Amino acid sequence: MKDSAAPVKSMLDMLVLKALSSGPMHGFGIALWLESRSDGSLALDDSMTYQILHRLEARELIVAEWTVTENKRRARIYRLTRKGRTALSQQTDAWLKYSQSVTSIMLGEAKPEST
Amino acid sequence: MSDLGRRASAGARWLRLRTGRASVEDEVRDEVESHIDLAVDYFIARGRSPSDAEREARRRFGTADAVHRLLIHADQQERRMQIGRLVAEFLQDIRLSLHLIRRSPGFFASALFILAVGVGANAAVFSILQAALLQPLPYAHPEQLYMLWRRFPSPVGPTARPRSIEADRGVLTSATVIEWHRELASTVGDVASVFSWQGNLAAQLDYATRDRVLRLNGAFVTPNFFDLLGVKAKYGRVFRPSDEQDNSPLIVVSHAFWQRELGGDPSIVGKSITLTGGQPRAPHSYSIAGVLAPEVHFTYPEETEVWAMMSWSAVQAYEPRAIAFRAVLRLDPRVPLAEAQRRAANIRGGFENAQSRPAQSRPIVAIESMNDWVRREIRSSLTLLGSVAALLLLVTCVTVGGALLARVSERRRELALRTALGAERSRLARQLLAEGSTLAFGGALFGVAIAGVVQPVLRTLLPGSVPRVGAIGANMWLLAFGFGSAIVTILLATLIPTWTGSRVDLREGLSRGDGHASVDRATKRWQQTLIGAQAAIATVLLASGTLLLTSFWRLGQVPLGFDGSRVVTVEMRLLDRRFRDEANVARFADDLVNRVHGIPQIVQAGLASSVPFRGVDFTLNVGKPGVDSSYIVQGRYVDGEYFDVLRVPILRGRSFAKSDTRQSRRVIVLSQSAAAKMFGAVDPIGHEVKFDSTYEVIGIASDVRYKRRDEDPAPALYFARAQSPSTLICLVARIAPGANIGQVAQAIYRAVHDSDPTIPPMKLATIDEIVDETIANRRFYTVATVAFASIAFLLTAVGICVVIARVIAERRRELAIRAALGATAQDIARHASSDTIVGTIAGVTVGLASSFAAAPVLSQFLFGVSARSVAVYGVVAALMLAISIFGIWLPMRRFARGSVATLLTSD
Repeated sequence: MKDSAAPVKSMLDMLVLKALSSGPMHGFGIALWLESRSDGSLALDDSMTYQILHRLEARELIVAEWTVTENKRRARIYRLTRKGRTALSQQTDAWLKYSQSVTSIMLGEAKPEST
Repeated sequence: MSDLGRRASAGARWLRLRTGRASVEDEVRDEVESHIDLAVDYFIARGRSPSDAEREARRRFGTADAVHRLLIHADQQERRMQIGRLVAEFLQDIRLSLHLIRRSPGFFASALFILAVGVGANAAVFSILQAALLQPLPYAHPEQLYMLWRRFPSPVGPTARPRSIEADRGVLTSATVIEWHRELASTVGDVASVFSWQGNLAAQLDYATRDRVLRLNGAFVTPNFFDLLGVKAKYGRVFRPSDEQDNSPLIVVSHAFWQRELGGDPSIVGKSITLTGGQPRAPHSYSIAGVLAPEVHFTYPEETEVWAMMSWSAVQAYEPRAIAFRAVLRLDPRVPLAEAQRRAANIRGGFENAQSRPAQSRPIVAIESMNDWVRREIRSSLTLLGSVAALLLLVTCVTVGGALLARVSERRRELALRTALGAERSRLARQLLAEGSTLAFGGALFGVAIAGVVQPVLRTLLPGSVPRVGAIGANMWLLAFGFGSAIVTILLATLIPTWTGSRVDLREGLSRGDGHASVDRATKRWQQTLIGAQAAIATVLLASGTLLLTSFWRLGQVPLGFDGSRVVTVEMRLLDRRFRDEANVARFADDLVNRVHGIPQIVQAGLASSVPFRGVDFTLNVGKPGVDSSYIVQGRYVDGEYFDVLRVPILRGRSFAKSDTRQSRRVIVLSQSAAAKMFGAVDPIGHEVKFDSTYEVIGIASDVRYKRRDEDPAPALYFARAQSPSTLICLVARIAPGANIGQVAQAIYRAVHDSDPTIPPMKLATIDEIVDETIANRRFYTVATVAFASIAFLLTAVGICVVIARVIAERRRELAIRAALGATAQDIARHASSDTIVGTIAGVTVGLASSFAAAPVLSQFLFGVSARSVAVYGVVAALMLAISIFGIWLPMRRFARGSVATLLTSD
């Protein structure tokens, strides 16, 4: 069965990887990062972040470990693996190409379709 | 606890119930709680009130069942990882077992080899079984096909002996076939008929090529024959019912004949060849309608080469009571067999005049499935072979199982250590299983390779009468069987070691610090059981092998009554109309014998109407003049040289001489048993025997076994060829020592051709070959059983050897102390092997009891020896004990060689 939400999923995966590319973060930090960078337009529940994180963890793109924050709170910190870094750069390239095509189609700049 | 936390833990409980695991859920719950805490901190730092902050944190996290979803999601991920871990662990196990193999390559090589022998023997036997018995016959819906026979009811009463299979397969009259075809075809199922006037299926047709005449195996069949079987042509077409109207002679040829004699040229279809045959016998031009596919065989071992069409009207025009037809029935699948049998019994079929006879002597039409017709004779011997092979596989599994068990007990300390270091029990079991599986699959692969070697050997041993031998090959069945037996092997050979191995008692295993303490009870019991089982199966195999070998030897000892060494024979039948004149037959025969005498490599030569075990042995009803009694005897037409060539002693009187001619008084030679039967104690020389004329008895010849080795020779009369020339001619010739058979054959063929170029000589055969073929089937299963039994026998020693070696290894120090305290080698051996001896003796006893119980099954294969022969059982028991003592002695000898000092100090 093909997952109809696959493109959205992979986009979210990419965004989370991007968030972690600047350094290790816990789940709440990532949620805040996504919120601030998108000006709230993504409107994700925080729980969604964890689904994404667990998925990436299973694919060994990120690893997690428990640490204690400066506020003496326990937090699970996620970090990119080498594999994750490679995946991020590949996905970024693919996404840029894809979004340019879609953008040019939507703005009507595409070459006339050859029939 | 927060609301979310409660929900999370509820979810976790739900999952725990479902999966029995807690770690993942706990982790998720922890993370969710930490998230909420971090968020609350964050919002308080942004100036919210604590309650406001918590509300906001919860809102952001999402709807209440988000946690639930998260947990399910996490669980799925976990599951995926779990599978990955299992695979990784399995690979690790395999790596470890490979490491263990490297550590003791000798052990694994032997175990692998033993398993491979078991699997190989089985795979080879199974592939033959599959081809000869299990593969469906090459017809459409073969299960609907039956053969019809004329059969006399089985004799009853105390003197009744079981009849041979052939006696139950009488040929039908044309009236029977026509009656069935007309009246029962639409309700019970149609029949197709095969015509043959020879008493066997092969109607002979002569095919003249440029330089020689070939006698072909032919058959005349009704136009619906191939359609009824569901056989198609490879080129051209088969006969069709509409050919009935067409009077031009048609033939269909076999694939082999087409390739051998017609050059394998597809364009031959539609062309004509000239064949001599039919009735009356004359050359006819036959148009080739088609070529059959190579897998079509109807008769074994000789394939029918040419199928000619015989119209239904020709069948009907045939003498109605002549016994010359076979019939194949395709039973309507809606009609039960019993109903067909009931209808068959009511067929009059020209037996009307027999209705007045008592029921026991009235023939009936019997129905036999086509599968039985083709396979009945070989089924029992192949079943025997299959059972023997299966027992061998069992022995190899038990041997390897015992060896693995011994290893587990040697590794007990290591296993205990692993358990102490936290290895789970299931993990240990899995590891042992992986070790066993590596062994089993290695053994299976190696075994299939062995089967590839064994199978051709078995194939050459197979008698020619085994159907569908051509279909035997290295096929998927062989591989499938190899791996099937690997699975059986894993189960049998590794389950017990795995079970006892994974039940390692931590305290026990570790406290035996020196590793020399005695082995635990369960292992000991299992070991004893395995040794016993092995000995029992080996005993059964050895008893069967010994009985078969004895029986084979006894059969070889049976005097045949003649000496066939260096005697060759060439058979001819003078079928042409010219030979109805006896003078022509005599002229040809005399000319041939003269020419053959001129061949330098031939020492002696004579003629007969048949030779032992081949050709037509006439059954005659003869009498004595003036006495109202008749005797059933065999009749043979021979010349005087026949007795010399085959070295059949003339006990009294004389054999035929040149002076016995057509003009002189008719003379006859009786066999010893015929003389006793007809004349009792009276000397028959000079007395008369009445048949077509009156004959004077001139001599008594020693008895000759003509038909079966395992039956008493039938009483026989010998007529002088010179006085009654028979159109059946078997040339018998004794060749000089060291003569080349091929050259002799060519010289004889040339002599036949020079005497009369139209007569096709059949293939030359040595009498030894002919006699040999009669025991081919028996030799096949005897050799195979003896070979398999020998392997099982040797494995018994291996199994015992392994156990004793292990006992010595474990109790080395104790045994050394005993030796130091003055125990003799025998004492020590007795001490180390008492359990094994008990197991072996119990096994041999069980084995002999099983053989005794299974005797009725084996006795059908035996000749001249009882399946419960005390002597054989005694020999088997002695052999088993001897091999067991050998198995004990081998490791003991190594132990005894070491000095006490080394034994005490070594670890």
